[in-house]
Amino acid sequence: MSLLEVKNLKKIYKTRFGGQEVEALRDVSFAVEKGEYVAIMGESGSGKTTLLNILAALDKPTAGRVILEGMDLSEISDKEIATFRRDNLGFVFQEFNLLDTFSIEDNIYLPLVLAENDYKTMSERLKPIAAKLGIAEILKKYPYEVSGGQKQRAAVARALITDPRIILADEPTGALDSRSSDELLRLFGEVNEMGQTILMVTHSAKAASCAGRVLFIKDGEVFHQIYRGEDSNDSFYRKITETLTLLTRGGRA
Amino acid sequence: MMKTLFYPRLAWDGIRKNKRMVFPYILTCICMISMFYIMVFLATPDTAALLPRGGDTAMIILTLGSVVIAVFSLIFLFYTNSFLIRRRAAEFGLYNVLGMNKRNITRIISLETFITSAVSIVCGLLAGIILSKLAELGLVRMIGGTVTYKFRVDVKCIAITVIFYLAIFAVIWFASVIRVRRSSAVSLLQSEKAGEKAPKANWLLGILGAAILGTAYYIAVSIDNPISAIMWFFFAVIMVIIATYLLMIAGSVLLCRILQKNKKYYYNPRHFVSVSSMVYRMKRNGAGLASIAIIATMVLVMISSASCLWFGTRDMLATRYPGDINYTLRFYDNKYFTGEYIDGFRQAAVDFTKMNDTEAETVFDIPYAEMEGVAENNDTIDFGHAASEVLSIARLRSVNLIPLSVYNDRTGQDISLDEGEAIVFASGCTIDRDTLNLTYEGRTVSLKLVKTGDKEFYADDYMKDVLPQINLIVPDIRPICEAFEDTQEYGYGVVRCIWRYSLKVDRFGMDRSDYAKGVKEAILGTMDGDSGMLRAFSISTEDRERESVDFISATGSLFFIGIVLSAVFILAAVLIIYYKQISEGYEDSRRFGVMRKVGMTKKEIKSSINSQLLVVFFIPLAFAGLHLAFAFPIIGKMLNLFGIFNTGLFMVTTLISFVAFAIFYAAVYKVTSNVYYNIVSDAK
Repeated sequence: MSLLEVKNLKKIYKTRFGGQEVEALRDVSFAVEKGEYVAIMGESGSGKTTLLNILAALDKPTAGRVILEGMDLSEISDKEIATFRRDNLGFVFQEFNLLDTFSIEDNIYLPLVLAENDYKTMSERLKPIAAKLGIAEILKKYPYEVSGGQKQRAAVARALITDPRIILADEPTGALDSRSSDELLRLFGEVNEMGQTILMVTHSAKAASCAGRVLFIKDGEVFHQIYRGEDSNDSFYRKITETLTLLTRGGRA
Repeated sequence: MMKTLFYPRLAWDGIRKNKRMVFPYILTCICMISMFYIMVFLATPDTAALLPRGGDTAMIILTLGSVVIAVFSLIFLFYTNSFLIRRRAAEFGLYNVLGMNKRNITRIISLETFITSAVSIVCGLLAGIILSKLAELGLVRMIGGTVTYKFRVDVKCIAITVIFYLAIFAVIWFASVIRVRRSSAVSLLQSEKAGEKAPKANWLLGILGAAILGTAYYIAVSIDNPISAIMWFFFAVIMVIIATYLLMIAGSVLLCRILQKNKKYYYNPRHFVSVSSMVYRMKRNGAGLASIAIIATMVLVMISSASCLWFGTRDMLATRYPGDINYTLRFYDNKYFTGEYIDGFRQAAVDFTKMNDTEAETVFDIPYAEMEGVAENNDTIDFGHAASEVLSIARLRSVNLIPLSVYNDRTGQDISLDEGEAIVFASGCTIDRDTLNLTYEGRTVSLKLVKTGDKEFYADDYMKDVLPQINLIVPDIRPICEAFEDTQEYGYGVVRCIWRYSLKVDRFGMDRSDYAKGVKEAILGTMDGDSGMLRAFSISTEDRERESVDFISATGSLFFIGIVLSAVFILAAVLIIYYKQISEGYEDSRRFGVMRKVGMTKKEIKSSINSQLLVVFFIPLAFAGLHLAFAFPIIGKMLNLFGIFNTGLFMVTTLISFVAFAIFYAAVYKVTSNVYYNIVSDAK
């Protein structure tokens, strides 16, 4: 059984007065195995963000199902959904989404505090993660005091500390300079090698080339997917760009 | 055509798009302008003409009131407008980036200021003119005067109001223009999103605030006489204001930081988010909250004491003037202070009353003596100081000597005292020795104090004084008078002998004032021919009705002003609260989204925000309550100066004021927090 199964997702947005309908997702199906590192690519407006919001249980699909380890997301009640999200999913956002009222350390603790862990357990859990992500020195600082790369690594630490089934990353390198991007992608690779499943939405071919598999979405459907196989990052990168070119030309692969 | 309408349209759009901000501002302007007009209107001689004799007092008080509104308007509208401009900095920045130069932006701001000012002044004046008649009727009803239903518009008042508020708006306009001119496009754009530093806990300021507040409270509570109350009150008020600001700004951050240090408390889902956001909330709103707390305290102090004054006036008049017609005879030569003479005076009064077909009853008839001295040690009072030598007001005592017969008569007892013995009743100070020495320039009278233990006696509130008071019941006043006989032949001696005589008149057989004059003449008539005796007396006549007019118009207009000013201040507080909720709403809506993504349930977020709002909102009310409680004794003392000794009444008016204010405050909270939730849920 796959870790995550997405079956025939469909999402239609209605304008406020029900006049026009916009089809964000037409029919999306795919599966993610445990320990996989999957990138989802597509142009803006292709439905990537909608897909991620549905996977994150922040939004509900019009039709279709999302199954995480046998649990159907649509069957979880509204009350439990936040707890479910907190316990099973880890998030990394383009805009970091760190709370400026918390120190970096407290930002990372946030999901654990909500799950009523005591301080000792939390700080013990944080130690190895902070060391690995290289943020041990900045834990006491506040978000406005550190660089974008550091903020994003703090966000990754926050995602990892709950030991989630899957990490959902939304354009994690989008707001970073190229050096910080490389650093972050290297960390994602390492985290994945330790067995962490990652699903990343991106439109950067560079970022996607670090993943094990790339799904291409166009007009609300999975248009194509390629596996890295034995390719190096560079050759995988070439394959991705070729596919992207094809995608923009509008042809079928 | 297009070009000429472009800027007015932009200005109009600016107002319309920011209506959540601008409308309440305009509304406040309108209210302040109309209140100002009403005050100025009421202070005109035309209105005073409707009032009874006390119109002069009322006019002075009302003029003062309008000055207060004027000053407050200037400060408050200026502050509010700078807040509005700051919030719109991003909008102006965008205009700038899109190619408008500062001159163009200035033009928009000028047009906007013009529109808001014009609307405010026109509407404010209209409201003021309409309501002025109502206010006039209210005032006349309260104080008692001629009720007319003629509608009056005072052109001079309109002119004053327009000129004054035009000046205020000009100042405000000038300040906004300077603000925009000085800033660069980028800083305008970014001013709202500038990363905010985490507030540092400032131990020094926090502790300083607590210390100042403690001192102020101590002063307020430990003051024991009205004279020092007046002197210290101003001091205490300034200290409380400073302390409130320090505590709200620094103390609250300090408290949160201390809570954060306690890991067990802090890392708990119920406290984690609240405590850390509270730091920021307090940092941003500390000053605003302190202002609200101070305004609330001001309103409460004002309305509770003004209403106590007003509702206590009639009581006070009744004790101060026990009869309808009251006489005070002062003896400049104590040799005339004998029972025979006084009996003669009394008889003259009674005869005159009977002769003139008037039914009157004696309600107060006390011969006594008063003296003022300085308390030395615990058992001596020295009367030898000239007023200018007295350094410590706290040691001043007012001493009344009251004949035993009066005491027995008024308390229905039959106590006898030996020569040199006295019963003592003290208020505002304690006398706990066995003897009391009265000294004057080397001459001393020692009184052995007898404890009777029952029937407190202050010769009614009639003699109540603002100084700490010692009432000595002695078998005979004369020996003491003689002991301190002054060399001065006429004028006030050390011991001033007084006979107070009050008549309650059930039916006047003649004109009221003629009667009052007649009794006085009759008393003087008994001294017929003895010119030396005539020079040794002064008689003052007080007709309660006549005296009341002054008091009632003074306390009535004070109460009236208290209500109007409270309304103005409360309005200001409501506006501060409203803006606070709005600006917090915009900031929290961003945070709201992040928390949701990180895994907080909507319920958790809402309850956390709710508790923060509640705490932040009710801190000022709690502070106001605390300030009020500690101000209670000192204000009570000050009311003594106005002849109000009724602590129970003051407590009632204070409690009612506080409860009414709290209810109103809670209602404002309810309404404004709805605005807050709308903003937060609008922007997801």
